[in-house]
Amino acid sequence: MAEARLAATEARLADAEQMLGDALQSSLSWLWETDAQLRFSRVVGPIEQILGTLPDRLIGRTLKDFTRTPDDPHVQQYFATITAHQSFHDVVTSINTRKGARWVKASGKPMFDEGGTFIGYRGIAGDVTAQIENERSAAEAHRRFMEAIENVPAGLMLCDRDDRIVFCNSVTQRYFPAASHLLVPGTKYEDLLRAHAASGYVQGVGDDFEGWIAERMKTHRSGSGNTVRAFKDGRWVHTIERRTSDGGIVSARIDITELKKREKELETLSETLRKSQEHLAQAQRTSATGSVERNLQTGEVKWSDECSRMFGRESGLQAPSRDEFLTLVHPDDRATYEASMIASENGLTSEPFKFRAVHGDGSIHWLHCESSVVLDADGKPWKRIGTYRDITVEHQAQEELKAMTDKLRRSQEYLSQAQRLAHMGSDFRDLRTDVAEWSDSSYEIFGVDKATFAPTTENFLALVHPDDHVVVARTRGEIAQGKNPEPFEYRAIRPDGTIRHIARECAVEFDENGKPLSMVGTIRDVTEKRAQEEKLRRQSREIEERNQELQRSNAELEQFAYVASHDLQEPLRMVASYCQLLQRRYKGKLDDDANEFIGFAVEGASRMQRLINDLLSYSRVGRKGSDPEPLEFSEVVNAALGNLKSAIADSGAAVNVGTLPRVVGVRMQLSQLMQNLIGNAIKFHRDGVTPTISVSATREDKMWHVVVEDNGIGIEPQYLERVFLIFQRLHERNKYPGTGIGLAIAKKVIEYHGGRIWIESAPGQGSRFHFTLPAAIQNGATDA
Amino acid sequence: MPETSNGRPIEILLVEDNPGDARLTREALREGKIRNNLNHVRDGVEALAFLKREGEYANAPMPDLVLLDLNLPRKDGREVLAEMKQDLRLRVIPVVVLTTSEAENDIVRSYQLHANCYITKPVGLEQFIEIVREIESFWLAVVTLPNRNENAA
Repeated sequence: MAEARLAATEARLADAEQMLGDALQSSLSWLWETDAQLRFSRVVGPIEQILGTLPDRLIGRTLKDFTRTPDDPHVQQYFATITAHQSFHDVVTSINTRKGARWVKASGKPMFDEGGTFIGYRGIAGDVTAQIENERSAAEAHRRFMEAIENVPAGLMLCDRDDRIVFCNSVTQRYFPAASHLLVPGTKYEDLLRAHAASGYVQGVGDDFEGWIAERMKTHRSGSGNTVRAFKDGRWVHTIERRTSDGGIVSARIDITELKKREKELETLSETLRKSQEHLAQAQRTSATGSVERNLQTGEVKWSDECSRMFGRESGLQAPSRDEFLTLVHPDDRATYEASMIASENGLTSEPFKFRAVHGDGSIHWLHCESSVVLDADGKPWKRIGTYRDITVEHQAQEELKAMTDKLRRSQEYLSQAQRLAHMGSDFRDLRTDVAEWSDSSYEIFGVDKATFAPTTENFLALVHPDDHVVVARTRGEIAQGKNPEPFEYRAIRPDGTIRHIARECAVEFDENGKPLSMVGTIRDVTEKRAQEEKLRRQSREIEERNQELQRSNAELEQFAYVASHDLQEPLRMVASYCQLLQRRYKGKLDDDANEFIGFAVEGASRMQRLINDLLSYSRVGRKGSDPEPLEFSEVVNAALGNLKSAIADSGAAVNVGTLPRVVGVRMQLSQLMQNLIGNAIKFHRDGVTPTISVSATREDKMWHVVVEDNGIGIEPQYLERVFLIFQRLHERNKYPGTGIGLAIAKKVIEYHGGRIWIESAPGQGSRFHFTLPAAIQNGATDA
Repeated sequence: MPETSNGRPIEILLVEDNPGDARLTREALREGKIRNNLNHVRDGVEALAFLKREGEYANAPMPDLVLLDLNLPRKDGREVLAEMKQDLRLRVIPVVVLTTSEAENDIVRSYQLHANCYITKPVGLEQFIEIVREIESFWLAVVTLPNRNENAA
């Protein structure tokens, strides 16, 4: 029994041993014991298997002999513990083994004998290398992961199922710039959101703050948030939120500002593209193309409806033959068209060309033709394919543009030419930018080269004569005050030093505040005009001076004649009177010689007296009592005839007076005039011919033309001018007595009246004296 | 030959600077019908001295007629005329302006100064003699002048 029990116990023991062995085996552990000196004294377990070391090698050695980390605080702690004979648990240390460094975890408790003396440790140890390494790599992975997360260019945040922040990377701060202090674990997400939204950083929060928060939180909690928001600083943020497996929320925030910008650009580009596509479509719709396909071998022709319309044919009809085609082309363009066809027939490609198609109604259409030729397998020309486009509108537009351009160019040329001819230039100046445009002739007037001279105000002012800057400045001042300046003149100095006189006129456009915007103006080169005017002024001044001089010398002459004749009168009177007194008192008492001498003296004195008297009357014309008045010319003539009564009677002269007008004149002077003229006519009669004299008048504009005609001896042509000079006598004194002053007085009288006197005469054929006098204005009954 | 009522010859004062004219006047008067005594002075100062019996003219007769030239040295005829016509005693003596001037100015001015007549000296001797005779006959025979003695009293 005992044996049986022993056997049973042994069996159980063996079983227990087996169990322990298995357990140690499977947990990679071993049991150990030390002596009081902490030297391993016993080792049980698969240590060789685990550490590659025989248990014998441990015996007699301490842990210190194996540990790789003697300085590890845990190990130090352990040594301290075991030195103090205390229990220890799960001390991990790295030891050197045959299999290299291994992590070992050990627990042990001290053993004491009955007497309480420490006798060693007993404990268990296990290889935890794999475990430790796993832990190590997991920590490393976590570190790397966290590093990666920090480096993600997105704000990442994790909230737990209670919506409190568990974690967020530092990038997240960028998306909560005003609430970054709340970005710590434990913060309620809603609190963060409220602080963020209240900071005014988020656009679109609006007045309904609570509403916005509610909406936002709803999205957040949905676990499928996908929102884009604009920040006040111009950034755009895209937020993606997802539910985690444990019911929390993970979110990522990305800055999409650049993206948005691109998006905008793209949008603009797309719009542009869309528009140009539209235009293209439109262009394609409007520029209908037609085509013709001609089989060069069979002569068969096919054309599109569009093409037949282009040639003015109804669609659907058979396409015309080669020669018939030509009849549809404008005669002037047929050669070009046919050349293109011949080229195709010879397998050659011809250049695109333009030609005119003439429709049945005579209308002309410009077509553009592009042709290509297709060769057959043998390389012979097979088909000609022509593509036609109606370019009438385009052509017309081009022609119109060309015509307009030509016209514009021509009118600019005309303007330029006209300005050049008129010594005129025009200009336009933007007064805000000081950018000006000058006409070509403006440059010419200033003598500057259009290619090198910039017409800025500064450059212009440099051309103005220094003395005239004040004039130009005044005008600029007027413009600055919102006034349109008066035309003015100034002088410019050309680069070659010549001075030009410029007449300037300009009009300024002002804005509503009176600020000058622009100025348009003309300049005229008036240098020649001014020079001419100056010359004229000088001439007229000279004439004026000469006139004054003449008047002065005339007046002096008259004064002289008057004074001289007066002063001459006195001694002459003495001479004449005393000669006459001699004659009177001593008549018959002297001898013949004395009588004759006295006679000559008396006669000379008398002649001298007549001369002086005549000179006096000549000098008196226009001197006194000479205000012209309207008068009947016939009365004047009658007065003259009265004075000539005896001369007329003596000569038997016939004087015919026609109807005479009213004239304006000085009665006394005019009667003297007529007396002199009629008297002359009587005096210079031909011997044996009764003097016949006629006086007549005809109206000439504002003057009366009076003619006094006689049948006297006439005057030789070379003397016609001289007869009017003072003291000019043409005849011997004793045949025709007189002082030769009568006609000089006549001329003076007429000139004083503003008329003209001249003579027509020939020797032996009488004379016609002409003169003009101002007509009296017919003034109703008074003048009738 | 006629004379004044009291039998004395007519006293004429000739104011004339030109001796030729003076002599001519004297000659013309000599050929006249009236007995006269021609007193000749050569300028206006002398004329007034004569009329006012001043200095050497203290015993000068009061003239019955004055023949006065206008253009005179020292004091001209116009001044003489003006002074005479301002003097109550002299105002009554007829003054005949006898001058070569035909100037309208002189004529008007003379009459404004109360000249009794204005005569332009004619150019010819015959006419001159004729005119002097006319003066003589008109002023010394035709017209009645205030009584010399009464007036002087």
